[in-house]
Amino acid sequence: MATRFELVLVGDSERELRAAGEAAVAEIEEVALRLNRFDRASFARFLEREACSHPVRLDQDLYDLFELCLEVEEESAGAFSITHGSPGGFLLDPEASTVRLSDSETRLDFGAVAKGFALDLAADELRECPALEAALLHGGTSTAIALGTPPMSDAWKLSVRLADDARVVQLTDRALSASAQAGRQHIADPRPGRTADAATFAAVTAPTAALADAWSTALAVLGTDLPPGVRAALQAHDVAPIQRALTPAP
Amino acid sequence: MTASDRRQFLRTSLGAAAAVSLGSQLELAPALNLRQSFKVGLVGCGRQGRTILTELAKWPAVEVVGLADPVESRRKSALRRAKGAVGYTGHAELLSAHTDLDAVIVASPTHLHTEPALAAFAAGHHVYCEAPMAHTLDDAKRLAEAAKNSSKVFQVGQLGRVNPIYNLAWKFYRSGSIGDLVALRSRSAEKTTWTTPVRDPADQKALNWRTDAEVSLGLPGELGVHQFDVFHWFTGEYPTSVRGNGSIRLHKDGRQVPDTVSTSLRYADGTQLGWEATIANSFDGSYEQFEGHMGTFKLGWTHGWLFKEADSPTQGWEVYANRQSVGNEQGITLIADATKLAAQNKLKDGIGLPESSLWYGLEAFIKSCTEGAEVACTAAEGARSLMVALAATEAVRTGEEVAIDADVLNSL
Repeated sequence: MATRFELVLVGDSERELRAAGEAAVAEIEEVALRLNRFDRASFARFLEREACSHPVRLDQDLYDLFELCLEVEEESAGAFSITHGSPGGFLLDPEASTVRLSDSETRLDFGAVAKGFALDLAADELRECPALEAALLHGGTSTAIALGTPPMSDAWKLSVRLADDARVVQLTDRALSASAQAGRQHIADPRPGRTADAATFAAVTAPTAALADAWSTALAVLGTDLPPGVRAALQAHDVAPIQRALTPAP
Repeated sequence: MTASDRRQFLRTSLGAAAAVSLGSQLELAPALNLRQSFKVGLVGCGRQGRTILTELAKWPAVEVVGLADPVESRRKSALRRAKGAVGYTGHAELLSAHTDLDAVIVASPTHLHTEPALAAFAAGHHVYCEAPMAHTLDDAKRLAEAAKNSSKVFQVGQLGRVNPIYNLAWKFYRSGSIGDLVALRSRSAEKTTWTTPVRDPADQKALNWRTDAEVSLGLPGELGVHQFDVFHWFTGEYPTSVRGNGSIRLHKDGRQVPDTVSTSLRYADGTQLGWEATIANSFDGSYEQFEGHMGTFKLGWTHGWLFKEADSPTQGWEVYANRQSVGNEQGITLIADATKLAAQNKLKDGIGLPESSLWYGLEAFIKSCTEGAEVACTAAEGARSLMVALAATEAVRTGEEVAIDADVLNSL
């Protein structure tokens, strides 16, 4: 993921919180090792090598991640895809809990969802710590998840900044993710024949960080004029969008 | 073909020829070809146990049918990684419920390795045991004895021996590539508390055993044992005595187990291994270093380098080798499977390891179980490394020089 994660943990026992923080960071590091497409020892690269010739078993967390990715890809009409830029796709077998890639050239890019996935697993670790009263975790300042409420406040308050604007988002037991198609232009439009050059800023809040991460990317690609189907999907998944066009769509 | 193409072709051909001239020295062993179902039970569902489950999922024929851990949260977490497996609170329940296991993997806390490993052996299963294999020499002897009297495989998880980069370095080392040994050096550094948050106070001892002086072997036992084994494997020698000291530099939370230690292990010929470890600082990570009068190997688990002395003769293949800067030095990168990669002009793609060290350890184990391959690290080798680690632990605890009895060591 090549990004910095930070954890703010609230509670009375520094010793317990540090131990919980280490367990959470270990989860994040493990996700980085498993999903890093630039590391040939990663599970993602293993899948690229092996899952085109036979189904590969996934643990429950990874299976759930693939399922989420498939769901967001379908509901965003392809604006989000972990196989973008490569031929084929992937097939899931819920009975066997396996994944199979449809083409030997299919590549897996979890870059638009891995931070959120890692934050969810880290948050699960933190929830196990009885000394923890509240927490705020973020990855790369673009995806965050809040647990409980901070001292003397009824919500974690996060400022989502644009060049000439800022908006405070209040979070309690919920995640926030922001993506922008401006600046570094790092989001590819996975849809055939389309380029993601409509500069849109998209932030969403959602029940999980992985869901927020994936949908913020999809909305940055889709632009501000969302089709009714996408709006219905967002509502169904309790994903609340905060979008703004930075430049007019071409 | 243009002149430029011809130059590229010539360079590629020469590179391939140079690599091929090293022949089998640089090739990875053939991959495991597992066709029949291989049923596994896992004892211990902490982080290492869960990582083992992740690696096992890479072989379609490996089926984890049961796992055991007394701590419910760990058991639940592990079950999310092993679809279809059944969870048990202890190894006895696991073994009685699954009599058709092929192998048992023991990844429980160190002081709880012996009983499940012996029980698994008694039930007729192959055993993979995490390192250190036990927390007392008596327990290690019991395991080594059981392994000696069994037709089943007992492999200790000392992973240097299965790491392709280390195997490559071992072959170079054994061929005399760094000349006469001058010194050995090693470090293990990670910033961590070695503690786990505890939801149920009853789980305190089960979860935080590493900082419990009653059962923990400390840094020499938990970290050093893996690194000491690398030196034994390369040199074929064991130290005769250890000096050491340690203190708590950072984690002043009431624990008695030092978080920072420094030891010097002496060999009969005067060679010294300087080994230090800390969980209070992460600088420079983990490595083993072999310093000879003609060169130095630095091995860092996922990477390895050979540094040549200026007066060391250059071999033909070195011209085509990949080089990297490491600090102020230029090192020749040790690349597993270099022959194949050089032939494809993809030598740089081979930097690092294609799989984790643990994967290679498990692959070697399954190969031993199913194909009769030589055991990568036997119970006897595990016991000898443990004996050295126990001496280092004692040296750190007392501040005294501790002798390692060669007769006892050789009897293992």
